[in-house]
Amino acid sequence: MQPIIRQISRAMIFLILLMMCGCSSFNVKSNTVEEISPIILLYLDQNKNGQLLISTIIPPLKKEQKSVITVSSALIKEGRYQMDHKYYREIKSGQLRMVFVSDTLARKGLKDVISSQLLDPEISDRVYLVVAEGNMIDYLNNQLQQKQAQVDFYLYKMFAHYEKQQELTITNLKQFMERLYDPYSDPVTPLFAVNAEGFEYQGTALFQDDRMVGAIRQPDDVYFQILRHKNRHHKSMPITALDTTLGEVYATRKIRFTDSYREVQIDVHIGGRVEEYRDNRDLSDPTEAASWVRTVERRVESDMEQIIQQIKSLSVDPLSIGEHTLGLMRRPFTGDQWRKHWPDMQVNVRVHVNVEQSGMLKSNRSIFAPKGRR
Amino acid sequence: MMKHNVHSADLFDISGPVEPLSWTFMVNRIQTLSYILFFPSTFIEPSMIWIILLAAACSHLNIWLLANWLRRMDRPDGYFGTVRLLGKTVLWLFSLFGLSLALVKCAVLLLGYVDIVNNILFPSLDPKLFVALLLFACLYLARLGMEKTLRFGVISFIGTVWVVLFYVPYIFPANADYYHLLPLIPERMPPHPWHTFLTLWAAFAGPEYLLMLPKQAVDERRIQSSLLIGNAFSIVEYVFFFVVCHLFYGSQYLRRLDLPVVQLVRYIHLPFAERLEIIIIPAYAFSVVYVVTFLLLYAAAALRMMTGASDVPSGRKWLGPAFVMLCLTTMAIQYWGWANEMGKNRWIEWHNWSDACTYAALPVLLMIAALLTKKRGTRHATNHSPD
Repeated sequence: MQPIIRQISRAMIFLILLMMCGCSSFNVKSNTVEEISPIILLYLDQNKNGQLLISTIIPPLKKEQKSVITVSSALIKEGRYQMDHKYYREIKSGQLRMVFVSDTLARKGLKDVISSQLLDPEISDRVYLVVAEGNMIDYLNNQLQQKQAQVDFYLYKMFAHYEKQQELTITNLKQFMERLYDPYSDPVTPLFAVNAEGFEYQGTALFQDDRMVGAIRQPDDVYFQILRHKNRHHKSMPITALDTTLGEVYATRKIRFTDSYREVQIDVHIGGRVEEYRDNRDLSDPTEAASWVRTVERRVESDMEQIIQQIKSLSVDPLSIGEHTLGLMRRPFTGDQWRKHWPDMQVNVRVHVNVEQSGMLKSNRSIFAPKGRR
Repeated sequence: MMKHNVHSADLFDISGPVEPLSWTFMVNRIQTLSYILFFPSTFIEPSMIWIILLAAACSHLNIWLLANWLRRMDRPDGYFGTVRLLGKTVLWLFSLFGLSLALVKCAVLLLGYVDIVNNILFPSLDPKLFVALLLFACLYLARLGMEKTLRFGVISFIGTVWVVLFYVPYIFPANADYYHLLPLIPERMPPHPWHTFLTLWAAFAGPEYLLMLPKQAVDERRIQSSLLIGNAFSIVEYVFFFVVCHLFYGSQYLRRLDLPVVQLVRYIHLPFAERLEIIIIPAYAFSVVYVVTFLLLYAAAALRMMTGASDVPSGRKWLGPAFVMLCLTTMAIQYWGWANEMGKNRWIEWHNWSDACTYAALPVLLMIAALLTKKRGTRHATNHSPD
């Protein structure tokens, strides 16, 4: 009898202890769900007086209207402090997923913004960092008025999807910081254009240190993505200048140095099929197809060289070409040396296009007709 | 209530040879705990991997020596054996030294762990509460005696080893940038090589506490392999964490982070669970409790030796004073040393140095002991005991 009672009492004690896990000592801050509002996004802007404008969407708890609130402050965490005073629930940033930064602020420098986010243990390093051009607050307000109350959640889903697809530039705080401190590469973020009507991917914002210095815009961005990654699959690759779209593109890129690090040779191999073609050339003819492929190669080469010219003139290295100078036993440039050396470097891009299928429809010529006769 | 758990009269009674796996787990946990908590910001260059491997090789040698000593048939056994070997005064000094080191090590480990918990999990909770809870968990375990504590090593190993699996995705691309590891072969001496080496050496410290194992606890045939396997596992873990941190953060960003290993845990997102650190960080409590209990028992033993009461069969009454001393040390360090980051780093540094010293002293001690044993062996015939 005794042991059973003892066992029961032990089980009771264990249960009580387990239940006590939810309790905490008296002086702990309350986290009652009814009293907090976890925010998903944060938008940071700077007004003309140099004050930070911090906005967020307050999530609804019961049947209340979702709204955008904005505070202006000198510091970021001061902004949060002010928000708590302005709104009737405490703002929690444990669920923060996206930080949008206006391009004016991005051009001034982001180091302070990001390190204040990273130092907060509540905030994950995975928070997406986005530069937004245009009036974000109008957009959010407009969306909320159009009964699109979940706009913050949809935006997060969009970024999560893009991150998985790996076709666009998507950066989180950790990736930004890692590249910021890496002496052989410079950070990038996605650049979105935003107005009252919409929110649209524009390309990649380029950073020198923590300041945005330029951007690769939309038609070039796909080339930039190919240059950035060792190998990448793209659903489609429009070449508007040639009235062509390549689809199911698998691109690989190799970087090597020649002439004792005075020249960079970038070899790009693009394999894919023609998905759209509006030219009169007959691609089923091997010689014509070959010459057409050469035109495509020249075109892509010159576009890529232009991109590289642009990033060289900004003296940034978002492609991490400097990393490729490192070897198992060699470090020919220190970080500073590389930064000085890179803009003067001769860069040659060689593109090889392999068209796996020249379109779905064969030309209406009979396959029995002898070749070369029109 | 705990009466049936406590049948052995002495805390340090060991009924028979301990499972060889327990030794493996013990060596491994006592080594890796401090390293993962305080992954020091000294390992900032990829080429420092060679220093890790060098320290690992030295540690392997050290453990090999230790195991050889433990296998010797003529080594002194228990309190009386040691007294006969070293003399009462020397032993008293050793005990004093060991007691203070063990107490400080316990306190620093506890406070370091509680600090992480406090920073990341419960920022508004008073850390003293958590220290007290952990201390009482240690006391509970220590009351069960040395044998049970050694067996708890299995639980502590199983309770924490799965954490490593979560880091595996970070060695693959997309997360990892292999260029961060270059240049692997240094073109010059890494900065502060001695400091780095000693910090790492301290990370391998811990097994020196096995020196005084009673003979009946040791299975002579398997002790060597089990200790060496434990050490090898620690080496694998260290190299793994080093490589993962470098691949993921790059050396330049890494040197700006305080706790990269913990920071990395916070980066993990699983589709069904996002804040995994809430599970992973508490899991380390197994390791902390295990190591602190082990050292607490050592402190109790040292107290018993210092008072010269070892002939009294019950070692249990020394556990209380040892626990009180541990509480006082922890409180004192928390009050004076742990108030800010500077103080914390200084204490961790001291802890590392003392660990490094004791571990480095191991072969010297073994040599002295071996010499004395030889001498005693010759004198033993004449029934002479030195004092």
